[in-house]
Amino acid sequence: MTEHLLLLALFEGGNEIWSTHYRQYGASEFLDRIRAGQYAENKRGGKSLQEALASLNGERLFEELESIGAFLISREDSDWPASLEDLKAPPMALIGRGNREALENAENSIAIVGTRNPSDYGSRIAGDFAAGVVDRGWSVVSGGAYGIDSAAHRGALVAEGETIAILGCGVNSIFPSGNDRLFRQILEGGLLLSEVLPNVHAIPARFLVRNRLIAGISRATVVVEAAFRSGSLRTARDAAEIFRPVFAVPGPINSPTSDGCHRLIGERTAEIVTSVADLMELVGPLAV
Amino acid sequence: MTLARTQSIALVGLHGELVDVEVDISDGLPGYSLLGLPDAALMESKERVRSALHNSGAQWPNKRVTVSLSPAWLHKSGSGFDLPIAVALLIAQGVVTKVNHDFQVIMGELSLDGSIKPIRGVLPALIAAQELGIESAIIPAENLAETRGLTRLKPIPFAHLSQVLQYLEEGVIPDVELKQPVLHVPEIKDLSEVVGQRSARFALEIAAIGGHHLLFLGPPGTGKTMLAERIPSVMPELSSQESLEVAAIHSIAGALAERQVDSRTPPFVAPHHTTTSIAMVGGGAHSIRPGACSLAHKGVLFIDEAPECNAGVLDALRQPLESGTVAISRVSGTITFPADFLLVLAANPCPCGRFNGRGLACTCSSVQIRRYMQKISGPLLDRIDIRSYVEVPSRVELSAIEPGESSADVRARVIQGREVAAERFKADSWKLNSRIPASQLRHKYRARREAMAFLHAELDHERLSARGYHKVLRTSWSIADRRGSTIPGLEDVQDAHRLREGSQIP
Amino acid sequence: MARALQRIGADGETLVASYLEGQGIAIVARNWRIKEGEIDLVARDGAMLLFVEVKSRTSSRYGHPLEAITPIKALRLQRLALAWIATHDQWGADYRIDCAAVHFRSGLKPEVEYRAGVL
Repeated sequence: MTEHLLLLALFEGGNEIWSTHYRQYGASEFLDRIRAGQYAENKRGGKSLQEALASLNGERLFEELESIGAFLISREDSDWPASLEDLKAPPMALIGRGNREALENAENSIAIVGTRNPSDYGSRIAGDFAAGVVDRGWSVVSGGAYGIDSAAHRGALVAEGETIAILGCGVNSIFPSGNDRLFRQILEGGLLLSEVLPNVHAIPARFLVRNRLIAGISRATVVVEAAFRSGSLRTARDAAEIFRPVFAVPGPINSPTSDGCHRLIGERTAEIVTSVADLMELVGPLAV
Repeated sequence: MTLARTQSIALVGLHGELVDVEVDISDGLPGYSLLGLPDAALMESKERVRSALHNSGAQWPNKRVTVSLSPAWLHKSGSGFDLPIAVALLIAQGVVTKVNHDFQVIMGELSLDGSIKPIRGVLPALIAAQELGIESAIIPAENLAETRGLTRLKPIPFAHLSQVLQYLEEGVIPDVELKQPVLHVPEIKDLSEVVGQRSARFALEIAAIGGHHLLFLGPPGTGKTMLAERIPSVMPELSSQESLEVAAIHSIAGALAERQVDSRTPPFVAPHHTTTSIAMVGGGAHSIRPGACSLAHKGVLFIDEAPECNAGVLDALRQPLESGTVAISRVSGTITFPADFLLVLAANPCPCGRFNGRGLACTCSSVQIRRYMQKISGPLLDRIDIRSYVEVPSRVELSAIEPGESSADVRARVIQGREVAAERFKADSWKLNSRIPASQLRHKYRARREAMAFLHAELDHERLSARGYHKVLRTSWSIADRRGSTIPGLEDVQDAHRLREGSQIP
Repeated sequence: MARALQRIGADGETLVASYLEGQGIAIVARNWRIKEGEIDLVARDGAMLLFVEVKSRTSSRYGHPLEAITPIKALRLQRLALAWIATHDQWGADYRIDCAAVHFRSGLKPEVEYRAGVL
């Protein structure tokens, strides 16, 4: 476990090359290769990978993990969600906090994503969809952000189902701060996951990288409301890349928060969906 | 020939006139004439007075009795003149010798056994008397409660004619056991009891700030009535003047059982949609009574299932909405009652009520739906500044543990918004945004340039009528007042436009 | 027998590719395969991407080849197309799902029946 912690400390997620190396050699050998100076050309803020690794204290990382009640999970564990392996750059490991058993059903999950500034309509649909998904025995994945993400998590909680929030920051950082209570509620039956270590802050780049995890872990992604340049449109693409169906919910055509969804539908990169029943029907048939 | 005189008050609408009640007893064939344009109830007074006198140990004179109520040209109505006539008669007969002049006006109905029955309109009558400088009045005991707000007039209550006689002779004021009226005052309704409905709450807050008339549209069971009932709780309290005026109207209508006399809460009146025009705006064949519109003066008039109303009924609302008063014309003249209310309509999306969501359960044809909605369209809908769609609360909203924002919190904002407006209009003759005249909207009370440009564009594209243009501007002032902007900007005007069209505010 | 069928398939694809090129349409990829399925041909007609499913048959005994495209199959084709589009950085590009049937009959030249926009 310490090895994976070191890897998470060394590498930001989403890098295809490092991910491939990890897969090829496994954690131990990969770290050995680094220590042996195999990747001398790669710098980490002026230091070589070798130096960076040497400056890390695996034990301390492990203690920090334990002290916040979190756990680490990697593909060496039996409950590692296999769906993540479909990604171009699967994560080397994930930090989790909450109910680990929620991972068992992680593959039967729907990702519900969208804008941070939804209309009342969007919030409502996100909540209703999440509740509907959970009613059918599946779980809901989202990013823990304000707006559609929060509405989706709440909808799942209200319907007494499981929800997983994949964060762009450490699992003990409360970001955004207003979701403190929501995260505590999620921890009761569901899970907070992250590809970064505890206490690491959220930065914009990490959100994009995190979005691929949302697309990867779930069976399908639903974009409820998205403005023209919304990050959730990127998540849709990440999902399509790995053959996950992407769905978009229409809205009023003069509403800027529905513009992104309408584009997805118009460009036929997302399938239009207007009810949870339709959604589940369209997710089902091409299950691999 | 003996002549005696007492005084009373005749009501014309809410307005009271001093009336001299003169009784003349002369020799001649026994007879009785009542002069002064009495109505039917007044005409019957002779029999009531005769029995009451008889049962109080007095007599109806076996002579020619002439009663004159002056001024002669003023139509007089009601049973309240029984008592002043009876007293004048007793004075004329010499039964009452010493007349204690501490009272100045008398009013009350007489029952056959001599007891004094309560009448309608005592409060407005005494308000008028007070204005005329009158300092005391004899009134029925059961009407005492409503006189609480009077500061410069002392009401003297009596339960029986014999007590009045005793008072006139000896100045003894009886210990009247006040029967507390049975009050059907509804409990205080608070906005925190409403689940979710964020946009409907916003709509009603803006309506309260600016006095904008409002339509709630949505399926049955979504809380339209609940929301409407709570609008008075977010409106500022009535001033003592307004409270008195409202109580006076309720007094004439005989509706004081539904309202505490000195209540400062704006009234909430919800006539059923089967109500007639007369019940809605006032009138009546015999005595003219204020309608629901006037009872809702300074408060809220809520018409649920508005499309189910008879066309004439909704049409009759036009006058009070336009002028804030109801004028009822009779041969005898025109009586006006105040009717300055906030109109709240509620309607289902279709006759069966199920045309929402996917609309799968709706059994109406599109013709039926159109006809239904057309009933509230046209001039009436044109006066509605705000349209709010009320939906079934989502599961998340229903499960929320925290109550919604309380009435007190919203009222604080409404009061502040109204204060900003009142300050702005201090040199004008109106105090609410919804009353800004169209001409002023084009000059002194324009919005910012981009906002006006937006509205002009909407006008050009015929997405907005001229009336709608003015309405949106007025509502935008209320939104700006709530937000704290000095002049409505583009965002305020767009929000107002959306409120008028009924779409959700994001 | 299997190899013969396989060759027929491959020949069928080549024929359709030639057919398209003959119309000025460039072939971008052949037999693009991922875990969940395969796209026979990816072509580009101007700004539009074409994703072609090729069905080869020697006889019409088993029904018309285009009947084999069920709605489920069409959905799979569309999702495969989107996966290709996402992977090759063409997100938002205009695309079309097409189907081509190649009829092999002994003694005669094989015939290409092309249906554009099956979805």
